Parts: sequence; C-alpha cells; structure tokens
Amino acid sequence: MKKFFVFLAAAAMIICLAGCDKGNTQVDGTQSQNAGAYEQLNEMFTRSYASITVDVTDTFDGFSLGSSYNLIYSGEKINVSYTVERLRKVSLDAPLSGDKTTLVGEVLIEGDKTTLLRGDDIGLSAASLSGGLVFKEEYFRDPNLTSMYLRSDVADPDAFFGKAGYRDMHVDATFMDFFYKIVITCTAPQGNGAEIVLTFGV
Amino acid sequence: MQKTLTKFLACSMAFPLTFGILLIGSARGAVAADAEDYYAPVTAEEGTALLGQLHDLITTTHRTYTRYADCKDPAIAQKTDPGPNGQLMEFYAHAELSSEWKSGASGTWNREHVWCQSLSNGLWGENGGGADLHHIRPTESRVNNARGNNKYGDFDSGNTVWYRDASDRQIAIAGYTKSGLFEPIDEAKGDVARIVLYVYTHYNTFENVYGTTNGSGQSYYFGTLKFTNVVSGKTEDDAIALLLDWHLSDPVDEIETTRNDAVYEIQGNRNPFIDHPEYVEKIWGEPVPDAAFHSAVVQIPADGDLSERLAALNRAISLYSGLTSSQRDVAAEDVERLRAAIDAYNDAVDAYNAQAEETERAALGAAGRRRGA
Repeated sequence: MKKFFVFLAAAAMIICLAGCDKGNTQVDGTQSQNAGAYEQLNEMFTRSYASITVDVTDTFDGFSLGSSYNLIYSGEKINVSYTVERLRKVSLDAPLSGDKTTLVGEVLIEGDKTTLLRGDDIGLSAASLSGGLVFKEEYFRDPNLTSMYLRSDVADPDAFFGKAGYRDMHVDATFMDFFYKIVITCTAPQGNGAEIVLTFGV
Repeated sequence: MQKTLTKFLACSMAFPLTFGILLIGSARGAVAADAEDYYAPVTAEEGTALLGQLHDLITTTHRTYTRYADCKDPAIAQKTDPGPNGQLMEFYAHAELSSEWKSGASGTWNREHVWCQSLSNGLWGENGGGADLHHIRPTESRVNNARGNNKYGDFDSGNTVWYRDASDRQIAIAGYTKSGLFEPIDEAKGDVARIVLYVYTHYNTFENVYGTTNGSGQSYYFGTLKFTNVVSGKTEDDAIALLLDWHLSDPVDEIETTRNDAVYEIQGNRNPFIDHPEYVEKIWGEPVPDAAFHSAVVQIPADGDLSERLAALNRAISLYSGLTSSQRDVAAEDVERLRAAIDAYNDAVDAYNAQAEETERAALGAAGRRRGA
C-alpha cells in the first residue's frame, strides 16, 4: 500500500512538472501563450550564471557609442570589467583627431560595497547592478515564444525592463535551460537608439 | 665687388641683342627659382618681426653696392628697365624712352631718386642708398625736374607733368604737381610705394627697423628715415596709409618683376615687396579678417545633428589655429561666435554622454536581477 502511494505521488509530481515545464511551450516551435512558460523564463533568468556580458550600443545624431561590461560572479563577489566609449569635448586649441574617448577599468563588488577600483572610475556600485528583467505574458505584444527563443515587441517596457521611459522596445532572447543571449532594441527616454545585448556564460 | 660688376657689363655689351634676350629668358627661370629660396630665412609672420627679418635679409644679401655712376650706364639700364624696341621704360609715364645717355638733356633720361636725395637726411651719396638700382629709376629729365624735391601725395586739380621727347612733343602724362606735392599716374603709384618701402626697410639702420645687422653695407649708408620725409602726411600713419593705398590700388606689374630679377643678378638682393606684396600689409597694414575662417564660423550649425556640428567645428578650429594673433584680434567677433558654438557642442556632448550612461546603467540593472534572486 505504501509503495502504491509513493508511486502515486511520484506520478503526480511527474505530471505536474510536465505541465509546468516546457511542455506547455511547443517544442516544435509553435507559439504558446501559457503563463507558466513566462514564469519558467523568470526562473531561468535568475539562475546562477558564471558571467554575463552586457554590450550596449547607443546611437544619436550620427554618433554611435559602444560599451561593454563583463560581469563575473563568484559567490557574493562580482567583478566588473568595462570598456566604455564617450564623446570627447571640443576646445579651441586644436581640432579633434577623434570624436570619441574610451574609458577602461575594473571594479570588484562584494555585497553592497565596492572593494576595488582599477582604471577609469565611472561610478559603478552595487546599486548599479540591481534590477532585472521580468517576463510576463501581458508585457509582450504578439510574442513568438518557443522552447528555444522569445521574439516579441514589448507592450510594457517599463515593467519588463524595470526602467521608465524606454519605448519602441523589441526583445529577442535565445535559451535552452539557460539563457544564451537576450537582445533588446529600444528608443531611450531622450530619443537615442539603443541596442542592449546580454550574453550569458554558464 | 667692382670686378663682378665689370664682368657683368662686359658680357652684356659683348653679346648680340638677340642672343642676349635668349640668355636673359633662359636665366629668368633660374632667377625665379632662386627667388623662392631667397626668402627661406624669413620665418616671422607679421609686424616688426617680419620687418626686421626683411631688413637683415636684403642687407646681408646685398653683395654688390653699385656706384651712382653705374646708374647711368645704358647697358645696365637696358637690362633693368627694358622698354619697347630696345629702348628704356620711363619710370613715371610707363612709356618708351631713348636709352642714349645725354647727361640729362631734355627728352633723354636722367637718374631719379624716388626717395629724393634732399629728403634722405644726407644718406644718399655716390654709394649706398643713393646708388641702389632698386631705388634709382630712369626718368625723362624735365619730368625729373618737375618731381624735384616734392613729396608724394594725392590731390585734385594739380598741374599735369608731361613726358616730352627731345622735340618737345607730348608723349605721355607722367604725373601731377600741386603745392609742393607730386602725384604719379595711377599705373606708377604702386611702383613708387614699393620702392619707398624697400628704401625705408633697407637703409634705416637696423635698430630702427627691428633688425640685427646692416649686412655688408658701410655704416654711413644707414641712418634714420621716416616715411613723412618723402610722403605727405602729418604723421607716419598718414604716410603709411597713402603708401598702402597706392600699393593696393596698383599691383605689381611686369616692369617691376623684370627689374627686380635684373637688379638681383647685379646686387644680390631683392625688393621683397615686389616678390611678396602681402608683406606690406603684414607689416604696415591693418590686420584683415581671414575670409575662410569667417566663412567656416558662419557655417557652423546652431543646433541639429551633432556629428555635422563637430565636422563644422573642426573645420573652423583648424583655420583658427592658422591665424596670426592680429588676425584673431580683428576676427574677435567670429572667435567669440566659435567659442559659443564650442560651448553649445560640449553641452550637447555632456547630455549625450549622460544619455548613454543612463542606458548603460539600465542595461546593467537589467542584468543584475540575478543578485537579488
């Protein structure tokens, strides 16, 4: 009898997992509107990754600024190395030989404190790394969601992205058990175009 | 010195005229090339520094000082002042004049001190400035007398000075006189101005013109010369203004360049104000706004596309860096406008960098969810 209940419980768990897991998202690539699939994306997003690279390209008035942040996780420590482009200012002394300058540096964040800074200080802190993406069905418009990717316009950028003012947002995420890459294109609050690429390392 | 001159004269007179013309023609290219190198030591851009360097240059390269007697030699005159038909060019009338020397008889040529001997503070003698071929010009004798000791000046309703031939026929107008002044014809005013400027630059002793040496000349060749000695005007500035006006209204012509090359071969020095007319304004003129700089500044967009604004700013800044301090002073309004455009651009850069930073922070925040999970 006891064995029977154990078997029954195991069977129920398998059925439940099958229902909650990607089973609701069609493996053959067809769409799913299942809220569970989005919850699974949230779970996947919050898993432990060894590293995340954040590449941002900002475009405005014929200029394009690129920046790259490499976040490496080790327990409570996050090492952030970065290469950041900024426009240079003009002076009367001489014409600019190049319109951009590059800032390079590295910070180590332990808990809420920055314990190391090397190179150019761009004011990174633990607070800079709080936030996150939130996946909910209602945040997307006409999503194309499969077991391997989510491609969709974002209906509610503020809620999805966690920052106000961004618009015309589109997301293209690829995953399988873990996220591989999330590409977000949008218009920033001040009108500049932005492409944000999160690349996950496991 | 004398040996070189004698050799030159012998050659000029010995060769047939046609061959001599060919010789001069073929030599002119070499002379022009030499003239380019001649100014290599001049590094100053303007003002007294340029004046001083020109003084040093034309006195140190003045290897051969001719004598006043040399200035009446037809062979030299035909080389320095060639007119049509193998004759001479009358200086003030710019008309043909017989090359035959007849000791100043009417209708023949005489030696004109453009800077009058009596107005030279006693500097002009048988040598030095009073016998410098850049200075002494052939004029018809009665024209020479009419000019006399009159200063140069501009006026209305003066008496016409005619260049007449030996038969007293009127050949051409040579200038005008009135109340102690002599006004050349318009075509000769620039010639006069550039000679006066040369004489002033050369024969003022170096301390007067910011130079460092009087070159190979005898010390008594040099002294103090003021423009008001020979040009009408209450002040030096008045005289300079008249010379500038004449210099600009009558540009350098072939008569002057021909003479400059010929005298260069004899004396070794050149009249820099013929080769580089712009030196006159750079030394004595009011600074002139740089047109290209002005154009570049007014073309900077007040707003709009940032990359276009940067390109326009770079163009203007590049031109600004090439301006002299005087040009910057005179273009103060444009410089101020450029500064304002730079400030506006830099404000836009600050705003744009802030936008980029804000987006990057948003992206980092988006990636940071993991920490709080």
